[in-house]
Amino acid sequence: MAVPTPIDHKEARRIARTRSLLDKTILIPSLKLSVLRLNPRVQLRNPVMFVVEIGAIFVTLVFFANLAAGRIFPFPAYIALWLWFTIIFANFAEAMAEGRGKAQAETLRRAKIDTPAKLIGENGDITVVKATDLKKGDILLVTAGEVIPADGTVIEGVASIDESAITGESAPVIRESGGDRSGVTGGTKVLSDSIRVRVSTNPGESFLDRMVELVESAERQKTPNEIALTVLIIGLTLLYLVVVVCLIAFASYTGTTVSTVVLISLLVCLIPTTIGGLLSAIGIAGMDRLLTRNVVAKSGRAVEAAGDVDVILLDKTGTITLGNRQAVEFIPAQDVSTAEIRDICLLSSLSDTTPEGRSIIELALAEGAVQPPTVCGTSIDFSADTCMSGIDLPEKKIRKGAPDAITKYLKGQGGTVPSSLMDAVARICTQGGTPLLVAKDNQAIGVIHLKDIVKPGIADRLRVLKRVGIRTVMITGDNPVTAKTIADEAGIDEFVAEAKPEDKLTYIRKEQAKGQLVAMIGDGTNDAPALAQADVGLAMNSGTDAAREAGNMVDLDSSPTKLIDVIETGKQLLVTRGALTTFSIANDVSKYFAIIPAMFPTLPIFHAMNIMRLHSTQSAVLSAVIFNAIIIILLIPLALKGVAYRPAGASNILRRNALIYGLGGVIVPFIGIKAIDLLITVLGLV
Amino acid sequence: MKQFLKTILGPAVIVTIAFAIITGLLYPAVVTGIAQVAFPHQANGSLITKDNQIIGSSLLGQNFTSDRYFHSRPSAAGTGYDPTQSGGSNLAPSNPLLRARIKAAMNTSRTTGETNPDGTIPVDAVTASGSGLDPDITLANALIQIPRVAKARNITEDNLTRIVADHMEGRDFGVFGEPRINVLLLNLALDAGTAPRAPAMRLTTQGNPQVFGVFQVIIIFAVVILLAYYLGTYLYNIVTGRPTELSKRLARAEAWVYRRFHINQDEDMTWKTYAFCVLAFSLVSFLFTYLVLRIQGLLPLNPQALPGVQPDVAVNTAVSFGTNTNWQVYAGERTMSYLSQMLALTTQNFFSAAVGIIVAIALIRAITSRTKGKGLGNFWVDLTRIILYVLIPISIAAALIFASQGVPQTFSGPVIAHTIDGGTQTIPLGPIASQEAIKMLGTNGGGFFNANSAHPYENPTPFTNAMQIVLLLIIPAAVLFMFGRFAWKMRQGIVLFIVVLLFLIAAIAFTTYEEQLGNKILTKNGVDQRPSSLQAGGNMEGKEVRFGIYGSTTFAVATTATACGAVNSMHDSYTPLGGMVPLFLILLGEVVPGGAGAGFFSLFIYILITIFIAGLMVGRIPNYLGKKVEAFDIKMAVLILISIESTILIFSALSVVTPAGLASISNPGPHGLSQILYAFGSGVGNNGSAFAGLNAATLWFILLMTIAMFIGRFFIIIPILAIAGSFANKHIYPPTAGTLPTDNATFGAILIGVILIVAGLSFLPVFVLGPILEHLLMGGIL
Repeated sequence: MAVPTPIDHKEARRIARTRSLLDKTILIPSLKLSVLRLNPRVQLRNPVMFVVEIGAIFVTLVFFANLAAGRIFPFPAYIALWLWFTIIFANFAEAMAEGRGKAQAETLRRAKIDTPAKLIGENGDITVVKATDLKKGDILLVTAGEVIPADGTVIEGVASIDESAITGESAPVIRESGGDRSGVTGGTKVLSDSIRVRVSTNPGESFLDRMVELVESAERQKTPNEIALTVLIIGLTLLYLVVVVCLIAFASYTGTTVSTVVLISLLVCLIPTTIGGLLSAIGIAGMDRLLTRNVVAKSGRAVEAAGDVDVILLDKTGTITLGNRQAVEFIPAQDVSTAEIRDICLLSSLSDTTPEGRSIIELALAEGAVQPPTVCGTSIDFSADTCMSGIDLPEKKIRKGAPDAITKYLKGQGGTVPSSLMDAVARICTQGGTPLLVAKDNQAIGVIHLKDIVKPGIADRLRVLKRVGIRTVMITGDNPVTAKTIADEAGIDEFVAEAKPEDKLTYIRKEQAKGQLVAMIGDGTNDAPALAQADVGLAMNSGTDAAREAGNMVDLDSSPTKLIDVIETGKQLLVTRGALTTFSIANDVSKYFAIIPAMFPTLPIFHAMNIMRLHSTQSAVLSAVIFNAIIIILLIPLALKGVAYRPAGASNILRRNALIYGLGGVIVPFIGIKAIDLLITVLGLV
Repeated sequence: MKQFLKTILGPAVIVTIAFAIITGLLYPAVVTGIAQVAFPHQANGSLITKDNQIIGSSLLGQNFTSDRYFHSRPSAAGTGYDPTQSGGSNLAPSNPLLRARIKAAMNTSRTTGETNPDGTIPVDAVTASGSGLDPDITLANALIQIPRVAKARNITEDNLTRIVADHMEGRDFGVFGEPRINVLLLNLALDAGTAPRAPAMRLTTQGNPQVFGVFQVIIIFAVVILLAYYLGTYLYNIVTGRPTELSKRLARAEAWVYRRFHINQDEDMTWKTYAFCVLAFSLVSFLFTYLVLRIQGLLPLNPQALPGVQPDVAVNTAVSFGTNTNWQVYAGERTMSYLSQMLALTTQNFFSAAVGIIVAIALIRAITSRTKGKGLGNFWVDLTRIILYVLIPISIAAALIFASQGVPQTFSGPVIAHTIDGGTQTIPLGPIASQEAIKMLGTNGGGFFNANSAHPYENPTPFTNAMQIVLLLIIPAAVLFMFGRFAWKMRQGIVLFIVVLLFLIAAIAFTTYEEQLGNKILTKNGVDQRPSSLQAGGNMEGKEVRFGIYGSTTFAVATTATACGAVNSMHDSYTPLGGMVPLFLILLGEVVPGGAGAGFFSLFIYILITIFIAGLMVGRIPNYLGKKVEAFDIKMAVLILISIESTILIFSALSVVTPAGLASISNPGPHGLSQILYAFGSGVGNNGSAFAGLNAATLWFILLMTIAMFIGRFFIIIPILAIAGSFANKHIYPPTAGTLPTDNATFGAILIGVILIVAGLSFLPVFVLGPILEHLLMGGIL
């Protein structure tokens, strides 16, 4: 059995993100594919390019017919050549997008291939099989140091796992049976203990496999919006076909004739080849871009829907806040010095390993406390009964805990809590914080202010969403006061406080009934129904199997803010489609002005319309055809990388894009065609 | 099937008959009754009697050949000023026949010395009017005739000039139309030996015609905007069942009708039911019209004893009026009895306009409904309300104003006039005002006479001309405002209206510029087409003196931008580029603003495509008023686009390569291509106007035009109703800051771009071989 080559996944992803468009490993196969796909049966899937191909074949035949008759006319040859190029360029765009997507998926998948799997049979005996032979429902044993051979769910045991192969995060994570952290991904490595894993996918059905299908043009299902756009461009193609065919009759009425080669050139220039050629590349590239952000989409529809989301549902913990409360302030009682309270708090938490406890130590140290040498005392761990923790030192007993618990404890010790401290407790509560009362012996000496800390930068990201009209909703189990504090601080529009798990589903249904598209991110089994209900359900890879099945996207990084990236990618995809369609249609204006004055050789009077002052009939037609082909190549980077999406109001975006791609689409080809005309004239091609 | 008979076909038959009686008999009868009492002189044709003999009508021109009389303009009506054969020459500006005619006229004038001081001749003296019955000449034309008449009558030129000045009619209300002299009235005054009153020099102080022209256009549009805005609200109230002054009074009658005719007033129809109703109603009213036309010989109100209409013409006419096209392969004054004009044609004018409007309403309901799954409304209720509360009241008011201005409204037969220069004129009369009103209001356009609104009996004064333009624009414009009401945001409608307005203004500016420049060939031959204080100038072939250039071009643009198709000047005789504009507007699919109702739903196709492209560009799934544009909608929109544009192109292409098609072309060269293209554009666009030189009364054209009109109507209405059905069943997504705004300038600008590129550019190649080539061949520059 081959051992998977260890690859530096972080590096691999960095490469992917910056993967050059000229990456040879993709470029060369793509070039080959572009030629192979000239097969008319392949082109039939894209009616716009199919029309071009028929034209190309016809013009080629014209050239050879002439040749056979002993006449060598280079003009049809040039036109034929560029018509073939037009198709090849379009094929190339698609192949590139496909290649990049596959390369990306391959990088992620490589780890899984050829991993030996220890299959547990019905009677408990273990057989070693190849990972590729595993079926859904198989039970595997994975022990420390082994690579998990397939995606699955931990059904027994707990283990720490290195997921860096997938996520790039080096810190190991805990995966255990039964909870919300039971999902494991093929390719990750068990570091300690051993677990039993139930395989959750059949071979070729993992997320990555599905992803690869989505980027493979032959298998790809068109998304609803893509279908609508295809209908539109096919319609325009038919329309221009009629226009051009009828032109033969009109020309004959006028007593002039138009050469078939010129007519075909006109047709190809008028039909929306730019968008027709790039449309599927744009769709595939959208998937690619998601994948470079470590999100695997299970359907193209979901990516489209992501662009259209109105509301996003965010969990407070882990998404908006750092996840744990942190100490931000020590409030001493009246006769206690700030130094004393600080030191007492430090002592109280020395043996406290909870994140809150650590944060108390950090705050104390930051405020100038000295790390005490080893303290001899008995630490009192937090228990659900007492609701407090502390330390018993030889000279004093220190306790900290919920105000109620400490008050009760002090009462038992015959002590009291000064009213100033009770005021502080009340104040912290109204601010949405969590107070911890600290007691020394039978005296309450101060309060620790614990607070949920909003993640740095999250407010900015949410502001961006607001600008594009997306409403953010925070779901939290906290009380409304705490929830509001956090919501205000992070700039959240709405919150659902004291939420029970099923509230998410209710909320989503309520919003959807109002006609809103809802996106959410989730990981637990609890979240599965909501993930399934949401229009965009992004499941964390670390989540349960149920959650991953229910969502329509999986985030390999399990990063809660990933949803925002997904939405941006979705929008970018739609914008790119719209922009290139606009550009493609706007291009027609100049192509008309290039070809029409030149297309009736017996009517030189039309030279008055040759506003671009193109050199000759042939150069005009050829320039337009060349421009039409070259623009596809020039726009490939845009199609693959997507039109830059700037979060702004719809009016601003529309105005900007309408100017760039609409007006630009009218003007650019005038310049381009003129430049090509000059060039081919200088080169003496016509 | 039984259900179908009971709820669709049954009502279709009953409603057709009921409204045929109301709109085809009662309405004209009421208008006639009032007009005969209130304005008997005008309603009977403004006839002039002398010694108990009818000598003509003050509205109709006559032939004068004697030197003692001022001469009218050249006429193409029969042998000249024959009211039974109204019409223009329909000679294209490039037609050699026109050049020959001008040259001959020039030679005569030069020998008799009837020229301007610089040797040129005023344009109206050598060009034929659109009606062939133009009663007026320009001041310039009168001026050159003064020496001859003065000499023949032996009075001083100065005195004669002053008499002419006395008879000068200024602009109506100081703004509308052009200053003119009624030749018949002037000659009658000369015969009567009237003494001059005016000081001579008044003849030359008529102000700059351009300034007045622009002013006139501005006033017309101001009135349109004002009226359409209120009419939009009124329409909204009517179709949503809100009580209005009128509907309150008639509510009980309305309810009785529904009960009586088994119409469930509360039925909210699905798109399919609605579509079946449209089809059934159209079929029944088509058969009804066909029948009336065929048997008109047996029916009353046929003073000329005209025989039944030929089957092919009858089919074509029934389809033509039933589809709101009103393409006329016949000359009304020689083909249709009064009863046919009223019961068959006026009725159809009401029906086809109402159907257009209510299909638009059904679509608007579907787009703007805020509850998923609601229907499109009730066809029969909408139809009844629109005819009863909107079309009839406005038509009665308009018909009476027309009658007061001189549009005849009588059931008497034609009269024979003995003209003063020794000839006779048969003057056809009829219930014209009542048909004229709905013809304009319903954007139908089918004239009582061959010359349509150029005919002085259909459109006697510059004021009625302005009124006709207003009438034909208000419903299409009001529908846009009504849309704004439905959409809960007037801006949604106003943006569309502004888009429409920009197209109209640009079109009027361009056509007027080209027409005012005139025909280069005429200029070369010494015809004076410059605007001056004595004449409006410009290309006056096919145009009436009283309307001048502005009155004609504004009408031409309005009638082709809507699907009206009435004409007050002969588009065939427009300059190549001037005539290209009406042609272009028709080929756009008549969306700016388009026909009554039909314009809105045609425009909606472009709105959908714009939404689709623009919506993507803001990074959303395209959505209009909270409803997503999906593949099905785009499919239907594209189906409509392709069926209309390819029908026009393919039929035109067939007609220019087949002998049957080519035989009908009257103007040689590129203009012939324009004629054919115009015909099919007009048919598919359900416009009905023509480059009228084309002989459309051949089997080839009757057949193809019938198909074209049918496609242009039902291949739009049915898919549009399907779209409406799809929109009615869509989820509603409330707008957010990220939603594409459809009520601002950017959206309007993109919509303009889409209309121009998708519709306009498809026809560019034909334009190049048609009007543009004609223009270049005439020595024009681009």
